[in-house]
Amino acid sequence: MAEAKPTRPLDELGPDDVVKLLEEERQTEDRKPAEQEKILYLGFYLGKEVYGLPLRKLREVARLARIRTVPGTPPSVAGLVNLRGKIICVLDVKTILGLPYPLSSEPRFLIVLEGAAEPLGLVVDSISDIYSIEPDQIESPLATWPQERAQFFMGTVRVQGGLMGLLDLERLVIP
Amino acid sequence: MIVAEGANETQSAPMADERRRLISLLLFEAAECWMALPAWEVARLVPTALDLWETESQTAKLQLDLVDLDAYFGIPSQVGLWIEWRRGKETRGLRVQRVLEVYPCPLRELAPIPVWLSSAGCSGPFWAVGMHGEEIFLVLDPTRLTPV
Repeated sequence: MAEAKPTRPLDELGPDDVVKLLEEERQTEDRKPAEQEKILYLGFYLGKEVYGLPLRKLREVARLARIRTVPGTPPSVAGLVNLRGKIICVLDVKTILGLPYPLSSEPRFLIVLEGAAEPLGLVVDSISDIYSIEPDQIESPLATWPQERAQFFMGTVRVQGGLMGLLDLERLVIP
Repeated sequence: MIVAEGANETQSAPMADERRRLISLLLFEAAECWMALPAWEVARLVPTALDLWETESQTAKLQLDLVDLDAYFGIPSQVGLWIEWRRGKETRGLRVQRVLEVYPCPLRELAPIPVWLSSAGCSGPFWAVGMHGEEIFLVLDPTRLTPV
């Protein structure tokens, strides 16, 4: 099965590039269904593993400045972030997926989701690339994965360097 | 025909006034985050719980609930002080790490607790969020605290 190809060289991609691609992706919503067969996914890292979310469901990507924790919330809630004067709730994807990686000391990234009643953010370690994926490239989650992990995935796809897990956004952000 | 000055602004004036309204908040730090209480609900600040206790009447002592906010949220307690909070007949003693300032917060800069937190049932005793400079604070409702 062919690998999903990144649309831009890895070392040229920055948050501003991702925002621009998000806007371009939204402008293609009126195209005929046949032209939308390929779906753009934003790849991001949690530790050394790469995961993907549909680009059309994302509002923006920003470097994470500071998170203020909310006492009494579960570990999956990273806290609150001031995003250009608006306070948004931010979830820790690593914790939701139950990954055993230690917290990164490097500056992390914030992925802001599109379409929610109010903005909701996801904290990730770093941004990988934008991938153009055809539906038939998507494989089922590995049968060896435990159910509590597999439930968050729509599938997997082979990318340069390994396997990318495509996350089910609705399941990921269920309160 | 003489038109009263500002007559055309009657519909927008109340909204504009509301946006300019300030609410005095006492900002303090507890449980490793910034919190706030309406300043008019803060009766006094004292160094120890004993200071709260000693000046209360016998009846008031029976009604006074003491809450160490660090311990309440599972944070190791550090040196701090006590806020005596009052709202009508309700009163609480709240132990905090430090008091920061009284902040005249524009009403428009307060927002409800994010929907996701409310939906998840983890907004706890907080009912609003606000910002002071770059810092985010949580507005506390002491009546939602379970006494320790």
